[in-house]
Amino acid sequence: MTTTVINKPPVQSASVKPPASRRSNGRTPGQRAITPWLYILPAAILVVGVIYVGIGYTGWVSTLNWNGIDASGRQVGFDNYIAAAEDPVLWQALGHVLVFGILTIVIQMVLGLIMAILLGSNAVFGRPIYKVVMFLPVVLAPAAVATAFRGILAPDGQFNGLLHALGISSANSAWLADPHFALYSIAAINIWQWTGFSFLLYQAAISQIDQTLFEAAAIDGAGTFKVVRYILLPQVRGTTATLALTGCIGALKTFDIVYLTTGGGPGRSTEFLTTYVYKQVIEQYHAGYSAALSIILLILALTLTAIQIRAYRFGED
Amino acid sequence: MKITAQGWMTKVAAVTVIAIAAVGMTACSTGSSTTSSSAKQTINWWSWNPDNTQDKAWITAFEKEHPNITVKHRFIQIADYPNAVRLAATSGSGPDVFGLQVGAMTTQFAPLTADLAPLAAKNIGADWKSKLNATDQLVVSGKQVGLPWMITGGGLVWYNKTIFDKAGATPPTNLAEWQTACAKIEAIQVKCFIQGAKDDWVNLDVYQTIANQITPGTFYKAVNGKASFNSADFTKAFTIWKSLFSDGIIQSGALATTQYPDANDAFNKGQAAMIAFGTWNDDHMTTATLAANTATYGDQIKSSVFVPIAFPDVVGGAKETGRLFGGPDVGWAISAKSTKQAAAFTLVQWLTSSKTAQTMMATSLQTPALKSVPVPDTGLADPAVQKPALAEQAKQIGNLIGSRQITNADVATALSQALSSVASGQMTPAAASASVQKAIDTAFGK
Repeated sequence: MTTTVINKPPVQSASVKPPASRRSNGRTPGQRAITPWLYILPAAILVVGVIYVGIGYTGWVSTLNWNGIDASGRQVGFDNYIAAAEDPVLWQALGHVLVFGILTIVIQMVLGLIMAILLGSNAVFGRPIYKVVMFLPVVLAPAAVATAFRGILAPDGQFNGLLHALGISSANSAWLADPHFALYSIAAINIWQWTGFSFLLYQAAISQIDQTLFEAAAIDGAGTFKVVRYILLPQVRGTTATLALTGCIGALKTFDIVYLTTGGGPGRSTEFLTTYVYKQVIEQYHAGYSAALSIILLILALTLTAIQIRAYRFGED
Repeated sequence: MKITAQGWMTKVAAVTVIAIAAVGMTACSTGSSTTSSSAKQTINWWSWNPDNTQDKAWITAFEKEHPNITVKHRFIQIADYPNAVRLAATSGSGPDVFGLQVGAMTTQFAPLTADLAPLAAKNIGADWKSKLNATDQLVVSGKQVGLPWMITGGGLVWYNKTIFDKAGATPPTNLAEWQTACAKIEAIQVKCFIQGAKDDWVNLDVYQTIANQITPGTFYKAVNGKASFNSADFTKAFTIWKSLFSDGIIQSGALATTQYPDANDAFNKGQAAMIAFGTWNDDHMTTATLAANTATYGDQIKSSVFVPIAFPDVVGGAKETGRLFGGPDVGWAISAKSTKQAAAFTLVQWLTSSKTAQTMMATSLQTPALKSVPVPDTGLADPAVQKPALAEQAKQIGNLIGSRQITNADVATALSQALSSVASGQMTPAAASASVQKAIDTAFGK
C-alpha cells in the first residue's frame, strides 16, 4: 500500500537560480512576449474579422443607395439616416419595441422572482419538477413556439377554449390577427418563454444571500412582506439590474417570434425594428436603407449596454 | 521510423504544394473556355423548385440525353433563396443556372444574368418566342433574363367536392351562393373558405381577382404607373376585399394564418372546404398525388376530390369572371459570371423546350412552357368534373389577363400593407388606394 503525501514546494533562496522551464528553452524575450498574443489570435481574428469588419461594412453600406445586388451602389452620405428619421414606420416600430420591452421585462421579473421565492421554500412538494417546467420553454426553438401559439391563440384555439371553460362564452378573439391584441399576445408568448430565465437568475441570487440575515429579521419580528422588501430585494438588486437591461437589448433584438407569428402585421401593428430591417433588405431590396436601420439598432443596443455596465457596478456597490 | 519535426514539416509542405498544384490545374481545366466538346463539364444548378425530393428525376433524365454534362443541384428554401443567390452570383462562386420568380426578383437579379435571347435564337430557333409561353415576363430592359419552365395562373378558387357533397352545397358562382354554401358547410363543422392572409402573396392574388372583376386588366397598368390606382374602381375592390372578412367568407383569424402550411394543411385534411390556389395545385386532382399525401394528411385525402373553379362574382355584376393572371412560375437564368455558358444553356434549353422535360412537367398536370406539349387529363380522381376544369384552365392559360407578380417591390409592399390594414380595420379603402398610388408615384418618378 502506498500513501500519497502532499509535499509543500521547496522554498528557494534568492541566490538559487530556478531551473529553466521547458517553455522558455531557446526563446528570446521577444518571442516570449509574442506567445500570449498568439493564444488570443484565433479569437481576435474571429471577433475582429466577423463582428467588427461586419459592423464597418454595414456602416459603409448605410451610406449607399444600393439594392444589394448590383456591383456597386451610389454614395448618398447620410441620406438614409435622414430618411429613417422621417420614416413613420421606424418610429412606430420603436414604439412597439418600447411597449413590448416594458411589458416583458417587468412581468418576467415579477413572475420569476415570485416563483424563485416560492420554490426556494422547502414547503413546496415536487420542487425539481416545477423548476424543470419553469425552465423548459427557455430551451424551445422559436419556430416550434410560434407554430404552437398560432394554433393556441386562433379563434378556435385552446386559449379561447379555456376562456369558454371559465365561463367566458363570448371569447372568440383572434389574438394574433387583431391589431388591438396582437402586440400584447406576442408579449405574452415571450413572457411564457422567458420567465424561466428570470426565475433561474433570481434563484441563483437568492441562494447566495446570507441566511443569517433572514434569521435575524425573523428574530426582530419582520413579516414576509418586510423581509422581501428590506432584505431580499436589496440583496438581488444586481440581478434585477442585469435582467432589466438585458431585457431591453433582448426587446430590441426580438425578431423570430414576431416574424413567425404575425410577420409584423396586421398592417404594421406588430412591426419591430428587426422585422422592418429584414423586410427592407430581403423583400424590398433596399440594402443601404436597411443597413442604416441596422446601425441605428446597434447604437441603441450599445447605449443600453453602457447603461447596463454602469447599473451592474451600481448593483455591486 | 521516427519523423523529425523538420521532416514532418517538409512532408506537409510537399503535400500542400502538390494539392495547390492539383487544384490549380483543376481550376484551369474547368474554367477554360476552350474545353473540347467531348470533355465532361459540371453545371451548378440552384433552385427552390424543384426541391431536393424532385431534382434527381430531372437530373437523371437530362444526363441520360447529355452524358457529357454532370448537373449538381442545390435546393434552397424560397425564404433563403434570394439572399443565397444574391451573394453567390455576385461573387462568381455560385450557380451556373438558377431559378428566378417573375416580378421583383427578376427585375432585381437581371444584372447578374446573361442575355438568353441570342442563345435561344441560335439553339431553339428564330421562332423561339412563339414556341414558348410568356417569355416577355422574363424580359428586363430588353434583356431576356431567363426562359420559362412552367406556367401557372391565379384567379381560381378550389373546393373539396367531397365536403360539398356531404354538406349538400353547390359550387358558388356569386357572393350570395357562396354565403349559402358556407352556411351549409359550417353546419357540418367544417370551415368554408380558408385564407392564409398572413402571407401577402395570396392576398395580392385575391385582390387582383376582385379588381379584374370590376375593371378587367386595369390593375396591371396601374401598378406599372400607366393608370391611376387612386380611383373609385380600386377603392371598391378594397371595400369588397374588406367585406370578405366582415361577411364571414374568409375565416376569423386569417391574418395570423399562413397559406403554407396552415391553410394548405387545413384544406388537405378536410378541415376547410375552399381555398384560393392557382393552377400550381393541379396535381391534387390526380389519384397518384392524393395517394402520396396519405402519410401527411391521413387516409381521408385519398377519397377527396379537389376541383378548381372560377373565383365567384363577389362584386355583383362582374364584367368578367374566370380570367387567369400569371406566367412563368419559375424562369431559368444563367449567371453572367458562369464560365460554362454553353453547357449551362444546354440545361436551360432542355428544361424549357425539350419534349422530355416538358412532358415530365405536363405529367404532373402543370402547364408546360413549351406550347406544343399538352397537359394530359389522365389519372384524375373524378374525371367527370375535373376534365372540364382542366380544359377551361388550358383555355385561360392561353389568354392570361396579366402578370401575377408586381415588378416593383415597393409597390407590391405598399399594396400588401394596404390589404392587411384594410382587412384589419386600420385603414379605409380610400386611404388604401391613395397609399398605393403614392408608392407607384415614388417608384415611377411621378
